Order: sequence, then structure tokens, then C-alpha cells
Amino acid sequence: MKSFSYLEPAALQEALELLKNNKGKIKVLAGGTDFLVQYKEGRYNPDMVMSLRGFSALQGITIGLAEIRVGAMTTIAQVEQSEVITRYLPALGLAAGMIGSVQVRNRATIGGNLCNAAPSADTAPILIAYGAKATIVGQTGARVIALENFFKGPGQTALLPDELLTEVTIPIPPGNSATSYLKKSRRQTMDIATVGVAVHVWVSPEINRIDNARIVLGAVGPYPFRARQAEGLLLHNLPGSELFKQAAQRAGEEARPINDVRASAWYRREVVQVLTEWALDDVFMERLGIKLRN
Amino acid sequence: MTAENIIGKRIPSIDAQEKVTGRAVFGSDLVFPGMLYGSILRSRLAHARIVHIDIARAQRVPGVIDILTGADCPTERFGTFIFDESLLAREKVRFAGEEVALVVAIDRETAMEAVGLIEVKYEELLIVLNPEQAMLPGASLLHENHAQNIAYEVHLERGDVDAAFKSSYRIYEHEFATSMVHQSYLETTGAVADADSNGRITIWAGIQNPVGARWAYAQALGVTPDRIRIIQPYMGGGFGGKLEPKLPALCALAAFKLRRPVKIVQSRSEEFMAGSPRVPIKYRLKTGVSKEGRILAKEAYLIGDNGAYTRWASAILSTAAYRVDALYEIPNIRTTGYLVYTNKAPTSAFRGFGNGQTHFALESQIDMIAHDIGIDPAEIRTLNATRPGHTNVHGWFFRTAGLKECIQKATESSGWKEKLGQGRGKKGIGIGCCVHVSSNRAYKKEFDGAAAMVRLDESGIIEVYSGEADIGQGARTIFAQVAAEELGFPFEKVRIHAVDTSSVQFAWGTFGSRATYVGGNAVKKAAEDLRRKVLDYAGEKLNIDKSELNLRGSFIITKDGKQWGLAEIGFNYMCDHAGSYLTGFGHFIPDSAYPDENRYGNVSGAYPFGAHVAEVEVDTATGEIRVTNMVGVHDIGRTINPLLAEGQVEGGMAQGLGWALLENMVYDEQGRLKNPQFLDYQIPTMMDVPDSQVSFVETNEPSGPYGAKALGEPAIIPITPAIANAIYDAVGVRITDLPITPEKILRALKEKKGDKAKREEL
Repeated sequence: MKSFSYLEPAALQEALELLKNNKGKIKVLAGGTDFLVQYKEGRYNPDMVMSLRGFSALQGITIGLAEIRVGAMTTIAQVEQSEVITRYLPALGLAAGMIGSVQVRNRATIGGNLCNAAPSADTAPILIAYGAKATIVGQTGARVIALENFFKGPGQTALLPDELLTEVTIPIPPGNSATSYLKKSRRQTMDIATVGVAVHVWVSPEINRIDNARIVLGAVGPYPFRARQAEGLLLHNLPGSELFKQAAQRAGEEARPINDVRASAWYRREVVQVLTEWALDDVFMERLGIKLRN
Repeated sequence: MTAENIIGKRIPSIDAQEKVTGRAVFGSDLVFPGMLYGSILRSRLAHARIVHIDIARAQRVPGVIDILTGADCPTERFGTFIFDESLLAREKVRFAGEEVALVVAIDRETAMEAVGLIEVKYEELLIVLNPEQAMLPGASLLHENHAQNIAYEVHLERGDVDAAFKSSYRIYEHEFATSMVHQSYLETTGAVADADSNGRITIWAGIQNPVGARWAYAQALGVTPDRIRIIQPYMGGGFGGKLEPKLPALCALAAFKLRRPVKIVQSRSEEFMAGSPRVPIKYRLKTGVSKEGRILAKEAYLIGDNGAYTRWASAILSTAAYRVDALYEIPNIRTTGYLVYTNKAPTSAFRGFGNGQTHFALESQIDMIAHDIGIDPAEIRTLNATRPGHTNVHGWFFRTAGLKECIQKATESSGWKEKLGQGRGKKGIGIGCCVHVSSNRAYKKEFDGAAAMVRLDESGIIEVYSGEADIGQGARTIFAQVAAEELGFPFEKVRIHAVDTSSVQFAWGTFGSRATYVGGNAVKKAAEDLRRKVLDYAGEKLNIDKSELNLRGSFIITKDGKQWGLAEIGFNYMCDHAGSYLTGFGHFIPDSAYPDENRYGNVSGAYPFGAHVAEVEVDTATGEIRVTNMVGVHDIGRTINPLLAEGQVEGGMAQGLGWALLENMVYDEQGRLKNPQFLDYQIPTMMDVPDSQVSFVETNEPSGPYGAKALGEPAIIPITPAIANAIYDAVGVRITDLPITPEKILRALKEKKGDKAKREEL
């Protein structure tokens, strides 16, 4: 355990300058629920730690005409309890509530959950399913990328050393759509996902044809990713249990899990199939109230 | 019985208020002037020769006071039964996590920084992680004087096993395996030690056996036991893992050398890497039964994983080999067991002490037998259950035995008959039973039993002195209840002296479910002695025959109703005796016997029994298991405090659930622990543990204090096989190696489906 300098900039601009002037030497601290544990275990030995808690600009949930903006420093508990989220993005609120303990959710932030880039991060699959975009700010200005392109590997993101993730923007889903996030972990609570599956679908009014579908898999690859072949099987078809089984099986094949102390790759693939099928059943039957064909 | 009648009352723990208000002082809270902090360099390799330790860079860190290595330790090795360990590694390291050097510095951070700068040159040796492979000829040896890496072995034979198998209706042979699990107590192991200018050492630490531990510590430090004083602060749990832990002795080594107070507190990952987890045991179990389901013969082969050093594991393997034979009346038994060194953390005592491991094997197999011959699993247990008055094949005598009553109560209150075999495909119900000891004569050759002092001071306060430690289980409360009851004295006015080896009498400590049975009995006898002395003195002073005096509610009451307060008696006695307090002494020796060379002999004065019923729901798509109900019934002779006793059982069942379903220490191929933290090593949360119903069968053990027997360890034992058996009832798959993960269930379900499909094809 090595000592470090602690920085607490008062404004975003100052934070960005510090990052630029100390390229690669700064570890950014949000809620600290991942960093502090890893630091104590000796996995990080940064020269400098910069906390973003000094300014409030990155905090809060706002609703626009077509999108919802969640500041990177918004806590997981705020996301979980937000009325806006509960109303427009209910599956995100539920996913947030599956993270850690009450104490962890009170400290942890959505930006931290994403930038820590754990393959099992609970908010990532559901945000990708909702079509979220990440706003990244550097000295030269801001850029916006699809969240599905944000993750590059375990602990690795598209952020450059002098950039910060400031906001996540999620389009308000249309009325004829539904989402679901299902997670399996070893125990009932306070555990990271062994497998997480998020599903988001749109259907044509009245005829109920599947116009769009996103299936996002968590904890079964180096980062959360879309099972595009499984999505393709669903597209332009009418919802049916045989179709869901096929899509679920394909999602299982698309998963790229590893063996670790939580589960084997074999088991993860099996569970991807099960959760994908359940999530499809959930969005169509429970949420959209559509009767399935065989 | 006196008017107080405090036995059987739901009295909250005597220290509950101190604990819930955060005022209780634990070892890790202690800070002394001039105190130094220690941090340990641990081996990264599982087996290697130490070529050179370079401490030059570490020494230069400002604030580093000293760096100790194996060269600072006595050349003689220490241990509890087998002397194979050293406080810091000498010549070789034998597991990843072993203590190689100790840095002492002005603060913890400095010590940790210096630890990172020590450079050790190792010459790597071949490692052995699997006990069966470690026994093969040519396997790499951990200790040169232990051929085939065998640390200890057990061979037992009773009756005519071969003839009994020949006459058996059916013979069953199965293999079982239990996992390496950690006690996961809330407070990690830590200590503060100091040494005065005469070289007398004081250790403040949460140790389960503070008095007894001095023997091993003296050996480890190369001093005599009289040089070591141990003071026990409040303790955040032990569950077996804090039986003379190594760390306080290491702390003392530094304090002794530097003559300054030194504090070391282990991190959670150190706790996992170098603690004393449960001994994993593999079984081959062969059982022959009659047509009616009576067990005629049992043959067991055990291999226990000792890890790198022998702590209590030899006694644990011995326990695992034959204690279970007290559960059912089995006339013919053959058992062979080996305890084998491997390059892993030294394993040791964990609630159940080897008995839980064997119960998982036998209680699973009994269930398999019941299903195979078509008998209700509860009935086959009742049929074979040990009865009161029975002496078993090992010479154990059961004065009281309420196993049948436990089974009956547990099945009736869980709706067993209606539920068994009814929820196939999803819901299931299962039962497990257990027997245990109330202290074990076999553990210590010198003697078994306990001693206590109870004293009346000049303010009329009763203070109890016992060296039997409260490790969070409630021994202090039980001792206070016993003293209050015996003296007819208000519970609130009884105090329990903290264990300080300079003022209490000798005590083996808390293990083997001893505290209430032997410790409580000793307190009772000491209180009886004090009562007699108080009445003698009062009779003398009042000039009344003592038969006309009664002691009740802090007063001596004469036949004609005059009262004399205990405070006044205490004060007067003290003045009459130049400061001497009225003190009662008592000791209790169970009528057990030290086993002979064939392990024959009644090892305990009283045997507690129990039965647990578990209900589960299994998701056949994911293999997930939810325990939905747990019923625990224990024969503990007499319930001294139902509140504490229920807590023991609830906690035991939750811990047993974790063992059954979640917990497992996993090593990689290099012998490094893959999950040395609670993120990856998961214990159940309250969300994983269902509501439970706990009740007791009171057999009133004549030798126990007010009829009480043991409970601490039995509380964890039956639930683990009960859950395994409930899973079988639910989905028809049998998992014989712990933990029972969803993955194992799903694989077994798929194999079963595949088999069925294959059969149908044919």
C-alpha cells in the first residue's frame, strides 16, 4: 500500500486540466466502492487520486423531450429510487437495485460502475439495451459514443487518459416497447452477476411484429456485448415460444464466457440461454401483454 | 431449586448492551503508548526453499524498527499434537501465505510498505495439492520425517465386519467429499503483545483457549508458560479457528525481542490464506443393512487434507473417523483414515471438528439406503437410533439420548409425512441427524474437566472466575445464570471476570462443545462451595445453626424471618479475615475415560443429539437451490437459556447452509488461493437464510449442570446433509461433494435426462 496525492478539483475544467497535466498518473475516484477495495488489495498503486465529488455538475437525472440524462456522479441509489427512471426506464432502476448492498449503492455511482468496466457490471447491459450513449469530455471538447462501443475489455474503456465520462443519455423508449434485465448470482443479494441478460424489444402496433430487438449479455465475455445473431433471429418475426427458444440458444452460442470461481463457462452458456428465454417471455407476455404463438 | 429459578429463562446476553452500543473493547480496538505495528511478508509460492532474504531496502524505510525472520525463532518446532510449525518460515515455505518475515514499524502503513521491499530468493520445489496424490510414492515431501506425507493415521476395527457384510441384505458403497471452508468470523485474528524488562510477556488477543494456548505459545517462543500472561478482550467469533492461533505468538515474538508493545491485525485475505480452515475429507463409505433397514456393518476409508502444518487436524481426523458411530447402534465397524500434508493452508478446527464432515457422508448415505429399500428416511434413522443406556462398540455410554424424540419432533413440526416425495420436480424435504460430545476426554491426555472460583466481595457482588472463554457464544451469560441460581442471587449482581491467565485457574478453553457442560458444572460447584461458606460464616456470626438459615435474593434469611444482607456478610468476612474475600472453589471431572491404544473408552460425560429438517425449492432450468424452511431440534439435556440456545441453532443452521451450498476455498495449480475475500468466497446473507423453527428435547442429563448437555457444535452438523437430502427429494439428483452448486445440479439433471432418453431409445 503506497501513499498517493489526493486531488479534489472544484470544477470540471480544473479536473480536465489536472488529467491533462498528469497524463496516466491519476486514478479518478467516483464513489470509491471498487477503487478502495482494489487499492487495499494492492491492485492499484496510483501516484494521484482525483475525486469528482467536489462539484455537483455531474450529478442528477434530468428528462428532456426525447431522452433522459444521468450525470456520471449520480449514485446507484439515486438511479434506483428515481421516479423518472422508474417511470420511463424501469429495468434500469431494477438493475441498479441489484448492485451490492444498500451501503454500496449509496456511495457507488453510475459513472463508476461503467468506467470500472467489470464484465459483470449490472447497469451496463441494460443501458446498452436501452440504446444509451456516453458523453465523454476532454480538453478539446466533448464526444458522444454509443455505450456499446464504450467497453474495450475488463477494466478497459474508450476513455483516453485525459478524458472523463460525464453523462449517460438514454432515449425514452417508445410505447410499444419493453425491457427486462435478469441476473443470476450465487447468492440472493450482495453478489456480482454470474450471468446478466438485458432485452429490449419494439413491436409494430396491432400486428405485434418484432421491429427491433436488442439482447445484451453481461459477465459472459470481456465486456457486455450484444448477441446480434440472436437479435437477428427475432427481427421481423412474430413473437412465439419456439422463436424465443431458438434465439436463446443462439445467444448461448454467442456468449464468450470463461471458467472462474463463480461458475464454469459451460454453466454460464446454459444460463445465458435460460435467462434470454425468460427475458423474452417477460417482455412480451408480462410487459407488452402479447400472447405468444408456439 | 431456589426461588430465583433463573435456569430456563430467556435472558439476553450479559454483554449485549456493551456490544450493541459499540462500547465493548475488542482486541483490534486496543492502543497502547509507544505501540508498534507489525506487518507480515507471506510466501507467494506454495513450496520452495528459502535461499536468501534481503531486508536491506526494507530496513531503510523511515519508521521501520525491526525485521524478524525465521532466524529469530527457536530452532525447535511447535504444535498442538505434532510439532511441525515455526512462527516464521525456516529453510522452506510450504504454502502460499506462509509467514516469512515480520516487519515492525511505527505505524501499519510503514510496516506494509517495508514488507513490499523485502526480497526473497526462493528455489522452487514440486508442489502437491491433492492428498491422494501426496500419498503416492515419489510425491514431493513437505516434511522429510513424514513419509508419503502422512501426518497421522487411524485404524479401527470392532466386531466381525466381514461376516456382517456377508449376512447383509444389501451393501452400499459411495464416495463423498467435503470442501475447504473458512470460519469467516466477523473479527479477523489480531493481537497486541508486550514484554516487561524481566522478559514477561502479556498478550491481549481473542483466543478460544487463552489459558491452554500458553503451552503451545511457550514452545513457539522458547520460553516457559509462566512467562506468558494472556488477557482476553471481547471476541468477535472463533468457531474453532481461534484455537491457539499462530498470530498472537508471532506478535509476542516481536514484543519479546523489542520489549515494546506490538500490534498485528490480519486482513481478511490473510485470514483466508493463512487461517485454519476446515479439514476437507474424502470418504469411501460402505454400509451393509438388513432387509428391515437395520445397519449391520460399516466400513469407512477417509483421507483428510492437513494442509502444510498440523494444528488440530490429527484430533479432527480421529473425531471424523469414529464419533459418528455414536449416532446409530452399529455393531460391526472398520475404519481407516489418513491425514495428509499438502501445500495449502494448514487446516484445523471448525465447528463440528471433523464430525460434521463425516455426518455429511453418513447422513447422505443413510438417505440413499432408505430410498433404495423403500423406507421413510426418518424411519430408518429412528430404527437405528442410539438409545439411552446403550454402550456402543467404542465403549461410549449414553446416559441420555433423545435422538428418536428429536426426529419425531422435527418431522411432526415440519409436516414431513405429507411433504415427503410429494413435490418432485421442484420442492423437496430432507432430514439429517447428529450426535456430538460435551467435551472430549480424548483431546487432552492430562485431564478433562474444568475449575472455577466464585467470590463474594465487600459490596455483596458475586464475581465468577473461569478460564473457559466466551467467544461470542454466551458462556459468560450461562455462567452468571448458574452462579445466580445456585446462590439464589439476582442475576444482575453476578459479574464474570474477564479471562486473564494471571487470575483465573487453568482451563482448556472453548472447543469440543465444553463450556456449558464442564465450565458450567465447575461454576455450579464453586457456587455451592461459596453458598456453604456463606452459611457457615453467617451461622457462626449470628450464633444460629446453619440449617436454620436460607440464602435467597442477596439475603441470609433466618427461620424467624430476620434478614442479613450479603453485602454486609461480605464486608464483615473481609474485615474478620484481613482482606480475604469469601471465595468458593469448585471443579468438575466428567466420568469419561481416556481411550486406550485401540481408541476404546467413553470419551465424554454426555452426548447431545439433534435432527434438522430442511425444505428446498430447486429451479430445474438453472439448478438454483433455495432453502425455504429449516427446522432444528436438539437434545441438549436441559435448556439453560432458550434465547441463547435458539440463537446457537439459528446461527449453526445458517452456517451449515453456507457450507452446503455456497462456500469453498479454491486453489489454482500453483497452490494459490483464488478466492481469499468475501467477494469470491461467499457466505450466506440473511436473504439466503429462511425463517427457521428451533426447539429442544429435554432429556435432563444427570451429569450436566441442571441437566444440560452441549449445543455449540451440534448446531451446524445436521442441516448440511438435510439440505442435500431435500434436494434429492425435490429433483432426484444426489450430489455427494460439497458445495452443492447450481452448476452441479444442472449437470446432474441433464445427465439424468440423457440417461432416461437413452433408456427410452433402447
